[in-house]
Amino acid sequence: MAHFEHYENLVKYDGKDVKHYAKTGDVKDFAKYAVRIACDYEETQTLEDYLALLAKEPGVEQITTLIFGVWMEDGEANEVTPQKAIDFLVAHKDTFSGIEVLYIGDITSEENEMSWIAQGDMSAIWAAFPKLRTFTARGSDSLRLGKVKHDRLKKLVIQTGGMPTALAHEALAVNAPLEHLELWLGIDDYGADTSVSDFSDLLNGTLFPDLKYLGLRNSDKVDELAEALASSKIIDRIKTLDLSMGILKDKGAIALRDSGKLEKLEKVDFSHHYMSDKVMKSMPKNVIVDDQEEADEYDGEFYYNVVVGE
Amino acid sequence: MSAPDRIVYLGATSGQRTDAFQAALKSLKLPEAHVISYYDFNQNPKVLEGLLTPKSWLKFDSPEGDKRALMTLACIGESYAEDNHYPVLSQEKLAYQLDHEGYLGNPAQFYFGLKSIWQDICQKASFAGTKLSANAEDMALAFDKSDCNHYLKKATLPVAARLNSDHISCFDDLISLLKSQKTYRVFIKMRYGSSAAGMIALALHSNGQMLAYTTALLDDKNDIRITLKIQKLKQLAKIKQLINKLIPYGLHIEKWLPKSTMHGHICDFRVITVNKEPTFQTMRMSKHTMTNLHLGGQRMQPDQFLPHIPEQLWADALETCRKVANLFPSSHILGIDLALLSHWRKHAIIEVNAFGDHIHDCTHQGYTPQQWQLLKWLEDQKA
Repeated sequence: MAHFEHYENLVKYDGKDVKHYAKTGDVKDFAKYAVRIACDYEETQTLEDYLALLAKEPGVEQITTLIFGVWMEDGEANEVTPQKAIDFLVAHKDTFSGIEVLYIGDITSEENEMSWIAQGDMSAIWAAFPKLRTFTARGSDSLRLGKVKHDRLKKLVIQTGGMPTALAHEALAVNAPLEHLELWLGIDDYGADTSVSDFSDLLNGTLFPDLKYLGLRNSDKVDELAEALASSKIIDRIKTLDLSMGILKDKGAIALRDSGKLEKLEKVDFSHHYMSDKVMKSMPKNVIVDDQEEADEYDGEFYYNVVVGE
Repeated sequence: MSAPDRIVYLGATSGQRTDAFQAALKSLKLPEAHVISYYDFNQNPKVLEGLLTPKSWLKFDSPEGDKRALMTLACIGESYAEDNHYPVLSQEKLAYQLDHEGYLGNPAQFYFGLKSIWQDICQKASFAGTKLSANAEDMALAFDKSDCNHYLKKATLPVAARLNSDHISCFDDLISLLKSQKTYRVFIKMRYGSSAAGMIALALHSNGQMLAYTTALLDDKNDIRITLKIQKLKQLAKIKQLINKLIPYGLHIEKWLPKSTMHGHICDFRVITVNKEPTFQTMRMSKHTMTNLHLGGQRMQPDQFLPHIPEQLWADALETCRKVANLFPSSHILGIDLALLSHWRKHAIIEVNAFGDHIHDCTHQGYTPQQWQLLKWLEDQKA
């Protein structure tokens, strides 16, 4: 079985063990751990309350990796955004000056459905944290990246159950030396309204000259993307192509296979796919084909599901 | 050790539980249990009565899928269900449902039937001075999810907050209640249901969207069917139709507590207490919030999960299990379902199972739960 990170709260991130911080003294060595704050189903503290507490800790400027877990008000996550916590973080940028890695939304399906996670406006993050090199956000509702101009940001991950075009455009307009671009595109039902043409600049290689990893994951349009990738320029200069968690079928997989480009990549991930046995077995050795799925048939119609449709 | 004259087993005539219990007796060189089914008892109570002596021991277990027994229980439970304003399924309909896989039946009717039989037997056993694996009161309490939740809460043990569903007569009432309580994620269970039959995890968004993970569905005849593959419903109309159909049978509604995760899965735990002592522990993990093993959940052994759980948390959780067991004073064994919460910092009791000892691949010092309870019981006799 392939391991998809949204099933589990983070245990390790960016090489550091995750340590949960809820009260003074919970974390002693801030340089050593990835620090997570999160709200609790039976407490009233908000994320910014925890941040305020954290900000008073000696040594907090040594935090490099900060994780926002579930944000709630009075124990409920419904429609609650992390905006105040983000604003607090930005306002205290000197206190949190060591931040290199931000993860906004370490939230499992036990805590909130991915498509229902109310996100925030991240526009002010980029200028406030010049050392930032990795940024992840889970959930697309109200998520705004703004205009991203950053000298060090290398990794951008946006996980959604349905990515709206406007958000995809913001991600593709990022002005940073990205090496890792990972977009979980999701499904129509939850607002995924991009089409292949929205990715044409990415595919024809005019964006992100340093890109090594391209992930277009959890997508119900992965076949079309795969066909476009087969004749793209970007595929010639990346090392990893990740089309996992989606509904890749024979059509898209064959197009990529027949392009002869897959073998030249270091790693290709098609985990969670709907390829036939024959096509699956015809994939080059470097292609991960874990979690072969079967379509659900109902009233003569076939249904294909991405991993996160909610 | 002084062995009993006789061990009487009230459960299914045949089946995994019965077999496991008999195998445990055999392995300890104890005489085979005298098995009496719920059906047989009802047909001829004298047989059981004749077996009850001060030196015999009576073990209660589940009727499992024994159709004649379930039919009997439903018949006995009929008038009690009516008195408590639950619907009653006709004998014809019940017979059909029991003959075909995957129907919910009527949990309330089964429950009242069981309770009545337990009370009857316990009274007889008490006259005879027979030792029991549990009394009727304890078993009935464990089987009634709302009473059990209330009872544990009163004893200040951690449980999910229950929403009072007494005045809910339709889906719209339920939604109003959830909104008024500002509780947007709940577990809806059959109040008297066993295992995960008819369980729904319901999430509400204030924009009106809803999502239900369910083990119950309506078939084309509008009958409630139980599915082993957890289904996801997104359409409001379907969720509404299903819940409207379930409500009359009695629901237990509680806040959906976010379980901690491990190895890429959602986890919870079954702790079996024997003589009030938490003895057997197993972790269940699943991609779904319903981790029940028959729904595709996997099981992990203590050596696989304990290293990942803060020691103090686990000690506290076991102490809670001990307290739960002491709140069921007559019960020799209990299967307690436990959730660890808030990123491995808290715990709560999910359910108490009177017949929760039938777990595969779960041993303590090399003994199965059935063997261990027999050993403990023999020790008691000796003392």
